[in-house]
Amino acid sequence: MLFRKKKEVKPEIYSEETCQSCDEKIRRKFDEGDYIYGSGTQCKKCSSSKTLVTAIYGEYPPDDKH
Amino acid sequence: MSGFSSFLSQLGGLLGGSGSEFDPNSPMMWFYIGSIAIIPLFMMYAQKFQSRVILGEISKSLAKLKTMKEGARREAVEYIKTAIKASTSSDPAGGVDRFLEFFTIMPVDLDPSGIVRKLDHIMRTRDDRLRAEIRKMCAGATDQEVSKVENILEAATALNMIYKIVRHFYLMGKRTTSMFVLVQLQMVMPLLLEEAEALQKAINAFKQGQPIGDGIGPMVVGKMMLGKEKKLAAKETVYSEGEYKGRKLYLLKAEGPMGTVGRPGEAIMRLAGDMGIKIDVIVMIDAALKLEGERTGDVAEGIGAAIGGIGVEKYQIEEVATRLDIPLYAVIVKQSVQDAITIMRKEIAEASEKVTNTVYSVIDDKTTEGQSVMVIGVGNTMGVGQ
Repeated sequence: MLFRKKKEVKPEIYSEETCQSCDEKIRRKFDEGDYIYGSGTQCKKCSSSKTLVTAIYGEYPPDDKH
Repeated sequence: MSGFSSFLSQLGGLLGGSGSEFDPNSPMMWFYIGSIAIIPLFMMYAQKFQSRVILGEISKSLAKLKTMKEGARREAVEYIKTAIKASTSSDPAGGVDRFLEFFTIMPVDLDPSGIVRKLDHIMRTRDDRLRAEIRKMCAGATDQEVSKVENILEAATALNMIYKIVRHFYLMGKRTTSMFVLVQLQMVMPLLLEEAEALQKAINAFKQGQPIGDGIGPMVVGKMMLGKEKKLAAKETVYSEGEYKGRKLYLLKAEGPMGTVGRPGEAIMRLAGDMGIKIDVIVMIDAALKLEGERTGDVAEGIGAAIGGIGVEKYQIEEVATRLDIPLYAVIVKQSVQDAITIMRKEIAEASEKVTNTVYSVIDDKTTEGQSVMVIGVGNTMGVGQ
């Protein structure tokens, strides 16, 4: 539509954790208090508590040119 | 009268009528007359009509900006009230309003010699004063909370300033009915609105302590610093020492996860100048503005001091590099203004590995074993530790 109002697209925010023992990577929704290179949750694969938040990012839908 | 009738008859003929005689009962004839009569009206009043249309458009955008700046102010007040629980001030609204109207007078540039030193002094005084005001408003808050409030208030101040400037030119254009003022304002309005929307989104990221696009430099260097001892290099700026293929690395970034850019200029002056650390190469990593058509997250390398801001830090780094004859290399991650101040996009976060590889390849190519390299992660380190 020519005159359709542009809809605001909000990104989904994720925290990516990497296990320092088994190198397993998991992606979960961002929790307040998370920061990059801060400690993460327990590793689901090897149960190690040595996980590190290695990235926090916003993911937009694929068609969003932003 | 007969003359006028014959004129109309001829006119009717010209406009496709039969042309034989004037027929006052024909609606088409009156339509033709109306169409022609409106031309002089437009010739005289077209600019006034256009001004009205432009004023209407600007007025709508101004209303949007007003909503945004009021929303930003409200969010800042609410954040201080609710998130900073230790706050002793009962109502921070007064403090926030004072902050929004705070101004800085730039030093005189009639005699530019030594202006950077003056600028540095003024900016430091400003930063210290604002930080002190925030601390007074949020007594007992941690450094990280204070930095969050500072970033939120800076975004709210920028929104307030955009609104006031647009309103100034809108009212000036309206008062003088100057098309030139109005048209210029209309032309820049989409860009201003885009920037205002980005600032509004930035407040959300700051409130939750999320990393922003500008934090890619600190993110890369923060990873290199993991597990190493962090020493204070300057206010809110830390460095670590490392080793890579026989080269000594000095890794420098703002102290995270606070929302600060640190003082890399002062840090390098202290390390390379005062402390006499021998540095052979400086590699700077920063976010850089992309041109339209370029992709967000693209990595490029070049020469020079990759650092934005008012110019003080850039001057200090260039000064040390020139005095000690240290080559400056830059690695940048391209992004838009909006990307730089809102939550870090996935494409930017994914570029960190490529940036790290590029930095190591620059070190491989430009240095030999036994040399020292300083790697500086430039940018706001909100939500990025080390």
